[in-house]
Amino acid sequence: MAEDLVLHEPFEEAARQRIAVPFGVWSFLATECLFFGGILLFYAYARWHGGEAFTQGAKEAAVWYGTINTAVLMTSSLTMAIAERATKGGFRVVARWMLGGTLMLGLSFLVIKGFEYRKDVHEHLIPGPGFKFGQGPAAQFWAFYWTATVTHAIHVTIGLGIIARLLWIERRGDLLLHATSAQGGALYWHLVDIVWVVLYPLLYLVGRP
Amino acid sequence: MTHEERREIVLAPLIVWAGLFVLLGLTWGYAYIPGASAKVIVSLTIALAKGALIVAFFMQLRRADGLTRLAALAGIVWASFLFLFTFADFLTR
Repeated sequence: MAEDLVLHEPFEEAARQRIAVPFGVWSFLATECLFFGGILLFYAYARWHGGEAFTQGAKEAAVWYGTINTAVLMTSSLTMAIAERATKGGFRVVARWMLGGTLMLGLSFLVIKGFEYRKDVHEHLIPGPGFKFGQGPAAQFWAFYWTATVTHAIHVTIGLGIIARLLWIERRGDLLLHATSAQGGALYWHLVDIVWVVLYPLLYLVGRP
Repeated sequence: MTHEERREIVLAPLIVWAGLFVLLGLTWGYAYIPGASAKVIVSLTIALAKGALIVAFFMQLRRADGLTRLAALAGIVWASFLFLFTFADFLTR
């Protein structure tokens, strides 16, 4: 294991930074849990209240886009996990390639999502004037769809920024000294994956026959 | 990279990833079985299983110290209260 670590304020020793980084990031992820919890609470209530009409709206969700994107994001979690372990273990080249792979997979996720949005817009699946189903539970489903997926896509974009920064540090030549930064970034990226894993059945599978 | 390091850095995450794909196949397949019971419960249970794999192995919570586990637990506990109290109200009106 690489012993040297670049210390960030306010830490005076590496041991403390190694404890504080996962604790700090997990504390932040706990707040994310509540943030997405509020969005999911809306879904639970609207589904309980809307019944069959709610799932009727869900039938229009493009299950293939959703399934492929789940596979893409889960694979990006794999490459991120390897990148983080390689950084900690001192394997710079492996870490570089795996971070690059994670970046490409994350970008692919957004591109696929973009094609899906184009299809959704084309089929008038935005609640409001001209919405396919009019007012009601189906509109609530699609309000949830747009809120949840756009919020998630913003998280993916922030995650890509973090990965790009790690790649920049690698290019500078001292990624191995930033093992705790890689660890924090990886934790965040995995959470973004978990959020999608939970959204997938709620968005794409509830409307299946 | 020694054999031990390869197992730790590459192989272990790869096995978890394979498990995630098996679960994805299961949840997708079950949703298409006509008339299958408890589809929502099954799909959410599988989603939780996938989440647990990611948390325990990718995010290495099973190896984390007590302080970190406590922070992770706090998110789940407070989010549970959010659902518990909301539905305690809605379901008893």
